[in-house]
Amino acid sequence: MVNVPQARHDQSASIDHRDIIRNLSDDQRRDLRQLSNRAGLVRLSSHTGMIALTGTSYGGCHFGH
Amino acid sequence: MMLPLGILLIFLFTLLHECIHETPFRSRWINRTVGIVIGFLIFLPPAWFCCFHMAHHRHTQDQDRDNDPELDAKKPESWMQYGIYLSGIPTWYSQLLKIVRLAMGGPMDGFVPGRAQKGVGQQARLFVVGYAILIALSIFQNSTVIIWAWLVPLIFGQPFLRAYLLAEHGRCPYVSNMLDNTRTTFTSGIVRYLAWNMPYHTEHHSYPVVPFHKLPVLHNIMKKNLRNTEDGFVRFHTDYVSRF
Repeated sequence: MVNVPQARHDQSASIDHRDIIRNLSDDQRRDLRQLSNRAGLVRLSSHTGMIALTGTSYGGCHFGH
Repeated sequence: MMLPLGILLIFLFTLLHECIHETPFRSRWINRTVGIVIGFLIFLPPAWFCCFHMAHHRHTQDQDRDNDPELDAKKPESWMQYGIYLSGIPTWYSQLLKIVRLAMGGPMDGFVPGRAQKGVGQQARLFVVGYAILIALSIFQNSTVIIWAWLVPLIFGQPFLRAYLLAEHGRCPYVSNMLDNTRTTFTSGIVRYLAWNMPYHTEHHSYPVVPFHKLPVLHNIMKKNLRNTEDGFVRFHTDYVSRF
């Protein structure tokens, strides 16, 4: 069952996303914002590698003789 | 293999989305280059999409002032609309028309700031030139490769991307709190992999500078406060259509 708040958000009654971010420690912030060429390139390589594999396999079936 | 190829290709959208935030890579030039290549592949110029998407983040689910451009395309509220939405036809129509309109110097959307308008138009023109070259080469070579290895798989993959995207804000309330107006969908590792961890969508909207590989960490911090969640995309869609 989808858990969806039905009424407009009561600002006084519940926590706001900004409260959570505001309460992060400096270390948490630094860790969360850590950008990495390595992580991105590894993921990109695997995604494009899978495209190449499926593409080659599909191409072999479709265009091969 | 056409369907897996199409799904893999169209879900590059989620990487384009990350590139717009300049978070998947540390180097800005890699973010920009990858964004342009993917934008070309999926017919979505990143310069325009960046303006669109930043407006969406600034005004998420802001219906009162009609500021969230994502709300311009109405969410499906009947079986007919749901089918049309999932087909991807409105998306392709809108994106192709947009590229042509921008390339021809047509009117800019309100969310494109003045300083970005020139670049948005130029990029659309470059894309049109690129597509024209590919079409010309295909005709010259008498080849249908781009049709069968690129365009048709994209068309087959688009419904899966639409189904994924509907869960991000579909049926979420029109309020400013990201804990309410955005949904995190708990799903398999395969879907999180395909979508570059974007099913952690409330986390992403709460702190958009967090790169994809740190979203699970942010999720662990925020999980006790998440209010708008769903256990999987099948459950989301089952519930969504049950209210038609």
